[in-house]
Amino acid sequence: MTTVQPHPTPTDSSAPRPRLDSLIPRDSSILRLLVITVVIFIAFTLARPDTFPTMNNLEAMARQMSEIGILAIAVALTMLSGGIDLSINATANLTAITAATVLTAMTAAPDTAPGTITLAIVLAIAAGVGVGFLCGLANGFLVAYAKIPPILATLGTMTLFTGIGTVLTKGAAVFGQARLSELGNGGIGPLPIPLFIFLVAAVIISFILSRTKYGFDLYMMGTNPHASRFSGINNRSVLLRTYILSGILSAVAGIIILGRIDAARIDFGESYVLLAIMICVLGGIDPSGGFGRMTGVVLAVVALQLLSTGLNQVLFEDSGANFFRQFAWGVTLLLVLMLNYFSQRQRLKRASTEK
Amino acid sequence: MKNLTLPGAFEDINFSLHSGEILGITGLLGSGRTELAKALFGETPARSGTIEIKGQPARIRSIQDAIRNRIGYVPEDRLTEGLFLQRSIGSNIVTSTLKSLLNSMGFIDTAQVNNRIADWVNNLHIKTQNVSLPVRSLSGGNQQRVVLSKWLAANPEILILNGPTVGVDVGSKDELHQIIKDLAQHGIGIIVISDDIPELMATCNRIMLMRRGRIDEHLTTRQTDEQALSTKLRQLAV
Amino acid sequence: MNWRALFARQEFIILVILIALCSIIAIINPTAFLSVQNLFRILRACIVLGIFALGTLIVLISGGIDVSFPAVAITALYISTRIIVDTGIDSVPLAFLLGSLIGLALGLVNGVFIGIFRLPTLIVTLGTLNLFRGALLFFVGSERIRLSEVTTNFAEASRLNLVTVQLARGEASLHFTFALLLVLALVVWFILSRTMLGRAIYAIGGDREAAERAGFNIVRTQFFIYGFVGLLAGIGGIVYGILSREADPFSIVGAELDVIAAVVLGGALITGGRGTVIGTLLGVLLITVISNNLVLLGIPTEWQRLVIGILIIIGVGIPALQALRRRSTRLTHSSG
Repeated sequence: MTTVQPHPTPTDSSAPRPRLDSLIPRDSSILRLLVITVVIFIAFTLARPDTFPTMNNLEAMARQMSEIGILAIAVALTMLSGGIDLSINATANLTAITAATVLTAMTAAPDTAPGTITLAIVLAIAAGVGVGFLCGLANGFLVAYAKIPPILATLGTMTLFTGIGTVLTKGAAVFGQARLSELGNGGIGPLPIPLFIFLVAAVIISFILSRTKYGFDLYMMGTNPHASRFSGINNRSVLLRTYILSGILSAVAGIIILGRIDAARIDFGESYVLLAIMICVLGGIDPSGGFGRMTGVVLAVVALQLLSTGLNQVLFEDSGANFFRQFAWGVTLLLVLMLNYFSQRQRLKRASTEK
Repeated sequence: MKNLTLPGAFEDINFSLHSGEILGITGLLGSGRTELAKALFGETPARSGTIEIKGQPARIRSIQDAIRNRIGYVPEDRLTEGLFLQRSIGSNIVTSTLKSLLNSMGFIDTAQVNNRIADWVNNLHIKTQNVSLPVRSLSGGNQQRVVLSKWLAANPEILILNGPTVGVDVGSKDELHQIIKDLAQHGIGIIVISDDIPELMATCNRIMLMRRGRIDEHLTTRQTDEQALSTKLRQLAV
Repeated sequence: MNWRALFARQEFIILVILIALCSIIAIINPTAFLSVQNLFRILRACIVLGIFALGTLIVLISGGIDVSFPAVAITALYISTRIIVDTGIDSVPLAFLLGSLIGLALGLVNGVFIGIFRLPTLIVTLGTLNLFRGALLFFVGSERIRLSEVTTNFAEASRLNLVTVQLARGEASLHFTFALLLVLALVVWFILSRTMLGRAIYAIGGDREAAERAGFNIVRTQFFIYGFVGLLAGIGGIVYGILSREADPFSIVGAELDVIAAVVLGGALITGGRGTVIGTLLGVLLITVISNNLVLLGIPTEWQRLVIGILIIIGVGIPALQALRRRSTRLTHSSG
């Protein structure tokens, strides 16, 4: 037996070298999701060939799915850490309210100078992102330092943020003076700006997860927080950064919402939290932490949007289309949970028979 | 270490560890031996007392401090504290040392990571076809090698091994003992915490017996034999 | 009784907060607050919230969370009402029987996913929340039913009082379903503290694997938990219908947060293993006083959410800080 060296001699690079996984394991659920997405698209194209696969419809879908997609990325990060963020929508709305308030205060007069408008837009976005940062910081502090279970901590802050927003606006809508409408409704070539922001966010987060120490630590901590602590990973700082990132992403979604509808209300999009969680689970993010990829989340966003819009078109005659959509979401979520459960059990069984 | 005290767990512990030395610590469960190890590693820092490394006082208040001071710790409970069972062998090996594998932009240097992993797999003879397989797929002995390599990669000066061969089969046990001795020869100071008397006798230069949070006796392995040691340990129980 | 132990109990803290809040309101606005009518109004507002909270308490103790119960409640109420209207059997006991059965059945759906497939409780119940509500609105109906227009007995039940007090100006009454809340609270207390089942619920919440090793049947216990929560939700739904004299399929959903907040304020830990009926009832009372009487302090209603949010954070922060302190004192006192 050769002796072990504390400093290993570099292995001969010509020798057959074991293949390294990218630090994030690949999984079969992505492929499955891709197939599901394509099937949904084909099904609705066949059912509504005149209205479904049109440029207009595709663009409308792209706009709608962007804000929810960014919120889903936020939730996905917290899920990877083994937690959850229920305050995303409250944060987004509070952000939108803040930005709208700034815009109204600075540019409500019809003869506002163009320079002031530009300044106001910059300030509004900065203030909004700042609010998102603070909301995330609050969550991160409660989860990482006060060690409050994330469901509860973010349930509390969700109520708190909603409360602050309600007090600020007395429950009424604040308007954005159409200053951000280009952001919500404009396009870069054929690409709607919200979609562009969503994709950029997904790529950046994906890169952070796979190529930075923070991303690596997040996956390890989500898998086993005890082992990560004993390995010298600073769990607290990883958690804090995760919730701050989630807050900032929520803020970005909030600003896009303000741009798209030019109004901010504290009770806007109440179903978004649920939808975002559903998208994460569909996209293969393990709710108990440590596993899942952004590709899955993006695919799940697309799949769910196709399903929602498709059902709306198919059931157009029926006034209950919204209700059926809610029903379909529930069924889809439970079905995917079951599918994951059975495929995982099969994998475990196969692994144990191989051994 | 001088007058190291953590009220309730251990008191007034004084000992020194030289580079290249293997120090055994034994005692019954609850004697404070694991608490002492966790204090040295910054997990639950000692309330009072000083730790000196190479004559310099070292402040160890957190695990990050310990790692900065080049201390590594292989926990007793390999499955929950030492390893990420569902993650790949490769990821496990680089967990504690990723900071040194970043490129100038601060991003993970994949090629370097691959090299590091391959080096350690070869160096410690970890038997696997593919380092992307989860650690769960390895045998107990090979799993322990992964934990070891995680710390060796951090280039430690002090390595604390808590129950290094618990749940490892006999053949791998001897190999692990050999690895421990090799490492000491290269100048690492090693603390082995164990109940396994033959293991202590086979690896250690000196052995400390702990009882109720205090050091009961210092022995060198030359002074004693397995029989005498186990009698002593049994007496502690009374 | 050890004073320090008493002060450390969340039930005690919440009681102190409640008394302090009531004192402040009573001092500032004595005529509006300190009246039998107002007392009965507060208690009446506690009934539905309280019944839901009892179910949520059990789930939280077992280490889970259930956000689907409002959907269960409204489904139970709406379908029961439709059956009563369609069959013409206008009976309050029948309404309760139907509501309980529907609630139980829907709760067991949660039980299957959580008990057998071991899926995370929050996500399963989010799924069933959508499933139940979507199915109700799409397949059963989405139109509000006014009980007084289609039933007699069922509608009359809203005027059935437990006690009526004659006062100088008018009279004050307490609805009979308040007794139902007390009975259910007793039942839950009995299950939790006097039966093996209760021990199993606490054990699962404390440490699931330890509970399994100790021989508790986890799957059966979880079936009970979610079935029973469904049953309570069904009963709560019927009570809601009686009190509001209508079956509106858009109501109740959204109440889950206040209910969970009340239970958590009352000292139940979401990580499981801890929680009492008395604490839960105090939590419900506190939330109700805040929701209904903050106005008497001159605080505008839009501040309600904010106050509740702060209270939740304080409510979950206290046990978390206590746990941290316990951890450090344990190190100093136990013999390692």
